[in-house]
Amino acid sequence: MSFSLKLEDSRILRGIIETLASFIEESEFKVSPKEFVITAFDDSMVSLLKFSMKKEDFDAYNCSKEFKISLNLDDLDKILKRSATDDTIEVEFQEREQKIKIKMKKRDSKRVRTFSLSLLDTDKQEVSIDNLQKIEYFVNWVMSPPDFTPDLLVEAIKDAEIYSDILNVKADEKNGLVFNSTGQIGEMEYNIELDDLPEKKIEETEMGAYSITFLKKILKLASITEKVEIFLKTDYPLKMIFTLLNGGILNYFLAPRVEKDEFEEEEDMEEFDEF
Amino acid sequence: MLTGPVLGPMVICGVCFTKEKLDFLQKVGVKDSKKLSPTKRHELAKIIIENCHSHKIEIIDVKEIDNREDRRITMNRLEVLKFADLINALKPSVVILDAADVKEERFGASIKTLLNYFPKKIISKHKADDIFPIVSASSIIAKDTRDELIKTLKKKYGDFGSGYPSDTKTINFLREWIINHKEPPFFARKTWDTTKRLLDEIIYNKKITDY
Repeated sequence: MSFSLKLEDSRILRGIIETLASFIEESEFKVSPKEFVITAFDDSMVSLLKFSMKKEDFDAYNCSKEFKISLNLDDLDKILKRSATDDTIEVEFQEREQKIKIKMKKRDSKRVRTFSLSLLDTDKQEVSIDNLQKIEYFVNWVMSPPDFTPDLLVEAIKDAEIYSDILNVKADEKNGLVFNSTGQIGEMEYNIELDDLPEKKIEETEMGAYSITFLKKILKLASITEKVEIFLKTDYPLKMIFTLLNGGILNYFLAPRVEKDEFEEEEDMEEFDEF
Repeated sequence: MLTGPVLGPMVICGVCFTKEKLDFLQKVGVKDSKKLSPTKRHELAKIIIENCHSHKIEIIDVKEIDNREDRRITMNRLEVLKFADLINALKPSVVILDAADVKEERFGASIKTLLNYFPKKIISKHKADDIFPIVSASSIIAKDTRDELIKTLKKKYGDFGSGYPSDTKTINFLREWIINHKEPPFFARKTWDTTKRLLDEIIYNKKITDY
């Protein structure tokens, strides 16, 4: 039994794996007759992502049954980084070989480079996204070109990073969206008014504080993203749905920071226990 | 950005040989400590200690490395202070240093101001470990001492790899420890970015599995 898939633009696969490898050591890939899916937690279990790409979005896709394979992402990233933008990438798997083969070929060229990568034996638990998918959000907005590209978010995060590792996001009917970060040296605020948001639903006041480190990692995808839809809810994970250039979809959930007073309470309790 | 291992102490060492006996080092195969296997280093460390005029090993534990932030001194400065202590204890007439500073002369000059005697000569060079067998000798002892300390820690607490931030085994060990104990192990450098980042992710962020 085997499967094979082909992409004429190497950027997508490269971008996805590069992003994944920045926070996960290894991951399971599920290849079924209909779609290609990667679901994974980051190693600290702060966020969860699910990437899926339909059969039709590949340039060639052959798969007759479901396969689950685990790979070391760092190694896979190293291999894919060797591809040029105009390389066609083919991934092949033969069940009996217990490794995948990655073929890179320049368009209109006969020269093929073949890399193989052994599968990992893992007993990782199945990652389920169902509970997170059930959360109902009342605030969301879309970032898409030409006026409101996902890069805007990348820039806001770079601004915020000057002051802190935490980005505060607030949405309400009066002010629209406010990104802010505060540090010892000062603070930054970035306000996007309601009228300025092309596609949005802001019916409640919602806010949250999120790790800039994690946002930065996931936003590496910005360069291969067509649009991103963001969902905000107080005390709940930030949800982002990336629609990638070739049609692949990536769902990302990032748990909020622990509120400072919440944490201090816990600390006090501990001290209390000791006495 | 701080480089160097995130787990385990820093070890520095000074070795003194009389001028006549310097040839001995090359004869027994002393060379750049990085080019020797741990077993070979262990073997040579013993030979060097047995044959040198004098030597001194200084173990700078994690607490002292982290406390330097409260004392408002840099890692560079801490190294200068510790090197000077070593030299003051051994008092060689010629001092050869493996410069732990981007500017090699500055490293030698900073140490000179802290000495309580007047050596004839101070040589401070980058890659001294590779150039001067006597520097290799002290580096071999320092590395071997750290290796032994690491070995003891691993026996007790489990295999954490090399202890360097670039090692996934080290990172995974540290992550697991923080998840289980809600704090880093006593032998982790808390002022290192790696430790700070992991602590921040694990303790100060909610878990996605809570939803």
